[in-house]
Amino acid sequence: MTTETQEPQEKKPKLLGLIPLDWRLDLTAIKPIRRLFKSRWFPLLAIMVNLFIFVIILLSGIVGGLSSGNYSFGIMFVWILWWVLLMMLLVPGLSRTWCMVCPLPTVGEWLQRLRILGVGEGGLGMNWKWPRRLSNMWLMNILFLATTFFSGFFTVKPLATFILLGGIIVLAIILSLLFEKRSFCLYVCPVSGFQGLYANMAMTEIRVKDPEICRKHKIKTCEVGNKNGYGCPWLLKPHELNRNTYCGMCLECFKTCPFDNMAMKVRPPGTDLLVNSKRGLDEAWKGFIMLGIAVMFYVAMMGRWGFLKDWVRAETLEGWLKFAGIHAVMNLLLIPAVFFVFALLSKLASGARETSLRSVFVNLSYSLIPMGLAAWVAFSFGFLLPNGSYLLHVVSDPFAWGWDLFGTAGFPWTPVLTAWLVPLQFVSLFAGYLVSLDYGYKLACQTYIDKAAAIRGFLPLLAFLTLVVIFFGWLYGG
Amino acid sequence: MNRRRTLIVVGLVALSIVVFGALASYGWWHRYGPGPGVAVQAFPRLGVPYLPRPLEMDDRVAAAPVWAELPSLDVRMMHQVTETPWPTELIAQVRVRAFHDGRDFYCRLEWADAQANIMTAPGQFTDACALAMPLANGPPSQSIMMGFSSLVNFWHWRADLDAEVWNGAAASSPAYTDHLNPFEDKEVLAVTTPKPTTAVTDMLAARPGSLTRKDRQAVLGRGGWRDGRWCVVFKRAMRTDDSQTDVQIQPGLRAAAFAAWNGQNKDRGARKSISDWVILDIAAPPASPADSRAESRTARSAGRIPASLLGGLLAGVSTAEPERPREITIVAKRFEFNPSTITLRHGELVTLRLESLDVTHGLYLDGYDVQTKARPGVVGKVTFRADKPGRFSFRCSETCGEFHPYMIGYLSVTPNSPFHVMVLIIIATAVLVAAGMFIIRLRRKRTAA
Amino acid sequence: MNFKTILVAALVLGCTVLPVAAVFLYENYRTRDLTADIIARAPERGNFSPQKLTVPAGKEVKLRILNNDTVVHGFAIPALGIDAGEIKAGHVVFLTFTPNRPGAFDFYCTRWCSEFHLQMRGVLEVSGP
Repeated sequence: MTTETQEPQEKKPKLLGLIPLDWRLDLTAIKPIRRLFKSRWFPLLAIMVNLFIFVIILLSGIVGGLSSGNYSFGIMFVWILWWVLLMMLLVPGLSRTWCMVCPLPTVGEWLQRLRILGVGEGGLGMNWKWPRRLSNMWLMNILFLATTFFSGFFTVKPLATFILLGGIIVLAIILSLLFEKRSFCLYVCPVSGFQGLYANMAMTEIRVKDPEICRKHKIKTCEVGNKNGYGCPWLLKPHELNRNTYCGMCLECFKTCPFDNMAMKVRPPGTDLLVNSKRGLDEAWKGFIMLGIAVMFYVAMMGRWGFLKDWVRAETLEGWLKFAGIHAVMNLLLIPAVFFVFALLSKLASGARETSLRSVFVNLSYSLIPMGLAAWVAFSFGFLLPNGSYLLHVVSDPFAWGWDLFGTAGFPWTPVLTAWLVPLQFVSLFAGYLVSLDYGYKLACQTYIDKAAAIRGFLPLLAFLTLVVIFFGWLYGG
Repeated sequence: MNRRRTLIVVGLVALSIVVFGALASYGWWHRYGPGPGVAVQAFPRLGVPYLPRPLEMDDRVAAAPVWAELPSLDVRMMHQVTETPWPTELIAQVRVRAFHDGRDFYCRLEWADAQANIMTAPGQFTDACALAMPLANGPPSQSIMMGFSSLVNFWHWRADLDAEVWNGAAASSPAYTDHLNPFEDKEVLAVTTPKPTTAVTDMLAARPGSLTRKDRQAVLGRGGWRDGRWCVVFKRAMRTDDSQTDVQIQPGLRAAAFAAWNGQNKDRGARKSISDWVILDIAAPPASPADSRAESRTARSAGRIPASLLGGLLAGVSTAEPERPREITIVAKRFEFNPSTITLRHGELVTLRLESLDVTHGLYLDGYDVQTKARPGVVGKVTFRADKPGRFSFRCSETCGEFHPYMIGYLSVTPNSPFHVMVLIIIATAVLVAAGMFIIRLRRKRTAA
Repeated sequence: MNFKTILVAALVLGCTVLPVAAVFLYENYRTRDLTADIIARAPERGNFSPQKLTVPAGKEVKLRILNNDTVVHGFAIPALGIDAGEIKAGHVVFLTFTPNRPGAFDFYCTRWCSEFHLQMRGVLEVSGP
């Protein structure tokens, strides 16, 4: 329950008082980009390039590169290059562009459609509807959390990475054959959930150009498809798209729209956080889990505590169970509980009786997203700067057979710019903190009925965000 | 039609699962599948019977008839190639026999050597052999020697000392560096070469590079060369009154290992042939109850590694210098540094000593770009001035296992000004924001009024 | 079968089956004159594999030592004066030499690599002419 208080005399809302929130730049106004997006060869060709890389990754997981992860092509490409790209560039900059070029569900989709390039009726597959009850983020929350239980395997054992990626491909094939369209991507894929949530922060979006045209357009070809493209595979209504979360950027709507009314726009980061549609506890928990995993990963991987590493790598089953248990409790209960206390304080401070505690809790939780993304960016620096140089070795000798394709196999491990590591982490955290504060205030204004209540209700959130950022600062360099 | 589609879907699902399973199991086999040597080899065993026939260490001791009655074990030797210098030729086999009479422990090593090398001179080296026994009782759990499992005693017999002690031959060159392995740049353990009272030097090691001659020498040894074979007998009391540094030999299983040097091939020091562990199965004498109680008491005290002793062994000898850097020793083992957090004052000159307890480890310090590496017995050292404030991670820089990239410790150079600045800025921001909110409210109230 | 279909099929094969085939063909080509591969792993994880290798005397031997393990290993045949030095995890060393005298020569790992480091060894048998 929200009430928008748009007072006419107020100025346009701005991000950090600098960029107007409704500022947009239509990228697809550039002709080559629009032609590219409307072509059926795109993103197919990009997917194929990616498919080639993933074939090498999978192959290196089972036949070569069997040593420790730092000299394995698969591990380095997935957990250094891909993960860092995702966290630092793709999601914050380009929303769910990864989903656009992701090769993992491709085979499943090809089988489902029985077509690769063209458009047509009558694919293979049962086309079942995904159960309503699972049409949210909970399954992805649980699966992603469960995946991190095994982070001590996936990030160091090439074969474990093969099993993870191969498992995702097989699951995508199975679910694509059983359920309609991209049900797997929407509701199951572990990577999808956090991309969806953090894509709210992205600086790009896919939206209609002119809603008026869509209103007049009676047959919504973007939903049902036509000879130029499929109806939205992500089960959305592109003509009323207002949030990045569930848009996988497959670009089918660019192809199906007869009026050329779809656009990819550059925007100020994070405007989707203020869009109140499909908000719920599932997404709030996703935010908590992402924050908790950032903490746990740092402590376990970049931390100095050897016993914890023994737990994570399952030296003993008991230790691993302790790790999994503490990790799960922290993410699912402890962080939400702490946030709940501050949400309660916020409601009490605001004095707004008619605003429900649930809506305070859910709405304000979105202010954690910039902070969480910043924590992940900072964490990624901690991987990229010291260990990025391994990529040069594995790209020349992907199977540890003594190859030297590009002459860089002999390049030694060389940490770069490590003097700037902690300062860079601090700067990212601080930037995230500022954006979080800004959106926190705007969300408070959205939640509470009048501005005075919003200001009072914002103060506990201010305290919470300040504590969180100081905690991360202490963790990364205190 | 519908049924056909169902069948196709089921078939495809099954196919994808089977293909995935097959590839994954191929990968598993490829990674973990049994090679010919997957099982760790069992250590060979030698029975050490109880025989109440004490031996005098006379010139016939190596040929005493009792040896012929004992079980023997031909121990396969190998090149010592973990530390340099390496041997060029191998003493392929050492035949071992041992027994005890309840009071003393006797062991005879026998190996082929075409030429006896006894006297030493520059460029000339003596034949020798050695026996290693860990202080801990029971079979060893690992094959690494040099005291990873517990302290280890080394009984090192040398032909030149044998000639000097038993036959009154002239003393060999005092400059003979033998087992002393300068394990670190400018850091060599103290060495004394007193007049030998026995042909066997009894030494102690806590880990590689820590070999130390004991003050009290109580192991007797006597050898003889005949027909191209050396026979050397060791003798020591089963129990001594120093269970902290002397191995206490008692009935049951115990590990021992052997080494042999051929002076002809210029063997000395690390240039030797060595064996892996051999398990001695020491028979119990028909003992009175009181005896066995005493034994178990010694066993318990022998099992503990005296910490003070370890510290003493590992602290090198360093001379006082006017501007000495603060020295901090970091012990690395998979996947942890100990201490894992180090606090320095800004501007301090510091030397980090890196010791490894298992495999080759390295240390790379973020921000300072300094790096060193260490392996068991070889200490890595790096000296730098802590002139950058803040917290820096130090990481293992030599792949040491799967969790190698996560082997990390923290070094804080106080005051941690980057962190303090960050916290200050954040608190200032928070206060400013809160204050700004109140100003907005006040203004709004005023305009409303 | 129009042109587009053929092109798409070629592209799909080109990014899946073709690279796999190319990888193995290239590897076969590179190892065409190799006498043997020796995989180096700590004893409890597989030891040297194979542990016994027979080569004829007087003929050039080309070995490839693959460290498929997670720690640093070494490789040396001291009796033949051969030392490959340190081989880091995931790295590979090629050795070319000609054993002239027949006999059995031990090869060893030369780095503390595990609690069972001393057991990491094998035999190169040089058979007589």
